[in-house]
Amino acid sequence: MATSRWAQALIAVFPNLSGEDFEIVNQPSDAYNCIAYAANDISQRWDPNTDDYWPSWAPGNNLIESLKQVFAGLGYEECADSHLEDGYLKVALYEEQGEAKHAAVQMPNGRWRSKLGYGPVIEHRSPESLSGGMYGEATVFMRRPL
Amino acid sequence: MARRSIATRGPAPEELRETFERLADEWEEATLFLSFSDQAAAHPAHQAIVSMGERAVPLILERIQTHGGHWFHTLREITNANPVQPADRGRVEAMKASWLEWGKRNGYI
Repeated sequence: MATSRWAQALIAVFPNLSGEDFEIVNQPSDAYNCIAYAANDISQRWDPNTDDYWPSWAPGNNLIESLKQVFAGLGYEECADSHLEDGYLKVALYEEQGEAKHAAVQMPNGRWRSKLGYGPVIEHRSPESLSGGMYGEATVFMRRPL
Repeated sequence: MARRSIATRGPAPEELRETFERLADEWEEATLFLSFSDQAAAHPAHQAIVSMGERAVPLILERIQTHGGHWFHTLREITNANPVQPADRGRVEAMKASWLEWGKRNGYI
């Protein structure tokens, strides 16, 4: 799918992306997913099913509490919001009715990057850019020292 | 498993292939942006493919070779096999190779 067609497809699924200058930064891949990308590991998929990698320190389900434990095990602690803080790397965790749906990671410039399922990695303005669609809402923010 | 007897039942191969390809395209398009494979597996098109049973296995293995994709959950659910070594979980190319080798060993390819 050409870049412009990806952009159209993404706006159709994530309406908040319309009107903002999001950018496709990595091409589609089935080799890793959003959790892996936010955990800085693009060598494998992180998914608590039988087929994929899931860290042993977290419960084997896709509840938001389990996803929090995944990132806690990577040195993250919960924080108040998505604002850029000097000296910290942040992730945003999305959920819908307690079920984890997505993870995004903040860049040093304050923007955010998300691997979208089997699709591309995009850079977007804020966690809210992907809210309101299939990912539910970003309700948990975590940070770790850089 | 009595693969041969099951594999010869049902629609003619071309009809089966057309149905599979339609469902596979629908499933992959609808779940393209989902993060977790269990959420993708709940889609009706995926459930329809699982309900095709063992007759879908050669078509899935062929699709993995030509299109890629995360069909491992589907193959496990249909066959009750899991040839992927624990150390390879999540490593898509290694998982693909394990399933294709399994397919050859069991006469699906």
